[in-house]
Amino acid sequence: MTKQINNGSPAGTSRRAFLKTSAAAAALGGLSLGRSAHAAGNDEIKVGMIGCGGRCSGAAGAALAQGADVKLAAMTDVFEARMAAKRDYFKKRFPNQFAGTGETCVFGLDGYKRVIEASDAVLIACASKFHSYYAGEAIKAGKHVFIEKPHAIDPAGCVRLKQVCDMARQKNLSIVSGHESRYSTAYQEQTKQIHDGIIGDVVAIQSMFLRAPYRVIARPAGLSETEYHFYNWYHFRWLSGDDVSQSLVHNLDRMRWVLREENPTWCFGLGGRSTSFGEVYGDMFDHHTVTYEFKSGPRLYAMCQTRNGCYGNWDDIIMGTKGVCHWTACRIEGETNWHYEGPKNNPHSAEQEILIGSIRAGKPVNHGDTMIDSTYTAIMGQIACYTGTPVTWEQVTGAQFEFEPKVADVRLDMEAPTKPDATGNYPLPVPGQTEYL
Amino acid sequence: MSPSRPTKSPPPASRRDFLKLSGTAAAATALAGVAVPRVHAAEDNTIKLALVGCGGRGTGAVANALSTSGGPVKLVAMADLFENRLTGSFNRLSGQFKDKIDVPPERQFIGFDAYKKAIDCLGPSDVVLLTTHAAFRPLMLEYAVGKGVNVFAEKSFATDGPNTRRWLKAAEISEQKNLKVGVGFMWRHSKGREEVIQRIHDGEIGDVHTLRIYRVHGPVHCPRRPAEANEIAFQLQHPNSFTWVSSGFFIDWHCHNVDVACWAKGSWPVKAQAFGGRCYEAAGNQFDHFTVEYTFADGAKLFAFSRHMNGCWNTYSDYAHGSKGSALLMAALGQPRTKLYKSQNMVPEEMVWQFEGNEPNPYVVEWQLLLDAIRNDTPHNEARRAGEAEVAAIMGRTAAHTGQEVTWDQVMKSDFQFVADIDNLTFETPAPIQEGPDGIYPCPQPGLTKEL
Repeated sequence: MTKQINNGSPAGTSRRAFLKTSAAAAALGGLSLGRSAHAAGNDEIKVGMIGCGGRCSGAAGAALAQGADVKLAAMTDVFEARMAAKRDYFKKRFPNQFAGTGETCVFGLDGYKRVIEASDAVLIACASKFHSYYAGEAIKAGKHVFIEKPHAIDPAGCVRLKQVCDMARQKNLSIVSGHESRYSTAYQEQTKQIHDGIIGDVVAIQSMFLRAPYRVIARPAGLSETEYHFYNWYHFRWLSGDDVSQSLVHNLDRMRWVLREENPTWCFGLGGRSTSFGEVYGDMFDHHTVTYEFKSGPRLYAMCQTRNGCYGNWDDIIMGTKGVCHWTACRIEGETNWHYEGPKNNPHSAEQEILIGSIRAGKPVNHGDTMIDSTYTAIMGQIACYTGTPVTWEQVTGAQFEFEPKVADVRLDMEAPTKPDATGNYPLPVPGQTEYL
Repeated sequence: MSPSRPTKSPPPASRRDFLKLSGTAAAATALAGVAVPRVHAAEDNTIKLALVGCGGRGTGAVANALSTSGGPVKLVAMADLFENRLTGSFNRLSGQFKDKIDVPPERQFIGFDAYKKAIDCLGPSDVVLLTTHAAFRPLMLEYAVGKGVNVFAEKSFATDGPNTRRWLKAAEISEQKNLKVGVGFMWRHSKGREEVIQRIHDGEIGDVHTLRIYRVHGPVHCPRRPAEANEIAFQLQHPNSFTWVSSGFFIDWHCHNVDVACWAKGSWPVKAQAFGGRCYEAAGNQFDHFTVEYTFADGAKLFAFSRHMNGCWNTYSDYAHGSKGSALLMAALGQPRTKLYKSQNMVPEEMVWQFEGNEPNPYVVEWQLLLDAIRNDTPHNEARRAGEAEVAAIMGRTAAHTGQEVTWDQVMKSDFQFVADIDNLTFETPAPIQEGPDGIYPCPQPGLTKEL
């Protein structure tokens, strides 16, 4: 347990008391909890962080920037030091909005419970395996949710995500997706141009997320094998879902948007590891290519890479019958040339504006309609690369596969699900032998 | 040199040379499109063959040549590095073709210089079959062209930038000498492909924006080298597992598809970037999977997918996509069954055309064309185009091995060589790639490996 910190959060107790009464009132009066929870006069919105890495901190900072009424009430991380660093940071950076206490700034795998309890809105950006589970626990408790991508890393997680989104809808709670491209004003205008026909019919798309390895963290002394996986979670399949789910999902979500939320019929994948060897890279592949087919015709050639010293590119090239869109440059060339010149926003700020705004207005936002299928799209591509076998939409959406161990069985003191071999490398999936579905 | 269009016939220069050399009568009839008098028939009607490289493909190519019509053909010399390979091939061909095989022991040659002796058995109207491995193709073409002998060369044609330039230089001289050179891109002589690609060039699917080609099937594994085996001999006997020998899986196996896709597009790509890796160590020093993204000058893309593993999904097929429709260039190996569709969705309801004609065996067709050209002294030289396809293929492989974007010009200017002095290779030469302490041959490591 961390040291007690009293931040003097007078709202804390009364808030909880209020919720109890208002929940009862809501139940009796048929009022929505989400609406009533905030509208009832207490003008504070308490957010809590599950995960104290860069992404969750960024989300919390953006939420706090929405106004002085937003307070950071709670936070948790698996590791005490990571939580403490962010606690100290927010306390210093947002002295009037930091409302955490020794009771609400906690660490360990059960910390999420305390955060959910202490918050009106929970920001979830931790080891991705747990995203949809924590979202479910938050919604069950009547709390709004911001959920970072990937929202799930396996079909079982997607099934849970769908249940969570349905539950949020029933309870009039917001669940806001971290697919941040959707909140970019430039991308919104660009997508509108494409939907209005500026490049004609889309006939082919190439998506790329090609870069050096995402943050790798060497094994510190004193951690158990399982703890090291959490410490360096991005590089372990069972926690992160690997790079199609982690990175390429951004491109895939954008292109599903461009294709009016059409889902692929099937995909073909190739992947492996050729450069990023050593235990810091966990058990990920370092290159993937997935070709998706869509009933409306176009193929989506999607590729991601995490290798040092190699060609890099981050773009989507959308080919149409009348022109080509270069996505990240917001440039369209063809029969009609177009370039976005309007104001650009920060999508990470925009997603918190949506969340906080929805709470203030009592108008819940639910991104389930897009985020579930974009997540499935990534997962089917990831599995196709691992197995060497194409995956259909019906297969992935009908599957129950969950990376072992299942969320409910994860403990920090359990035996690690994978261990490095004599060369210091973790076993990788072997296409042609590995099966997931 | 800048790339020509892959659809191009031999350049006009050689055509002019040919006309000058062969005299006005022949020129007049050739221009009139009438059968040219049998220049070759004047003395001895028989075209003699020498086989250099007595493996399955070389032996098969001889059988294809001996199956043509138009005049007598005879195998007169054979060369290989390994006596058992030569004997096996000789026995097989003798059993099948009897009197068309005239290769007495004094015209059976073994060794690294055997190719010279075999080529020396031929005259100006004869053909040498270069069917060893890509590492040796340029130097053998060079020798044959120097001797004024016609050539049939199996793919692939070179392994790196310098020996591709060597191939192209020899190709240029072969054009100047009006030699006939056929190459092992037999799909270029497939009726179904010819027709569908003509339709693409006529604009039936609009502007071609993407092509995708797949060679995705089971592996050729590299066994462990027996302790007593000579390293050079072992690697030469497992060409598919060693880049320096065969140019590697991607090129030696996928260059057909790359060539056909570029033919359909009507140009060569300008650059490539790629991914590859090795999931099974039995692949030798090879990657066992590749994705190559080629970019053409107009921004169109060619995606090449290559995988050599068991237990995975298999396909061996080629497709082209245009602004107004799409094309099936090959449904399966040996059965192109080409089709056109009015949209990108390649389902039966969208099909607007399919090839209905007969598809003669392209391995025989390529020989009929070559031998007819020799007998009639009509232009037939595929060497330059083959070398250019090799450049395209090397761009893709190099991009996969190095992790870098690779341009056409970089390959053409590259000084990187897998083997410093291939002309003087012997069984005592240190192997260009050495097995690791665990008996595993190291494969490329993108980001670190240099091949330019």
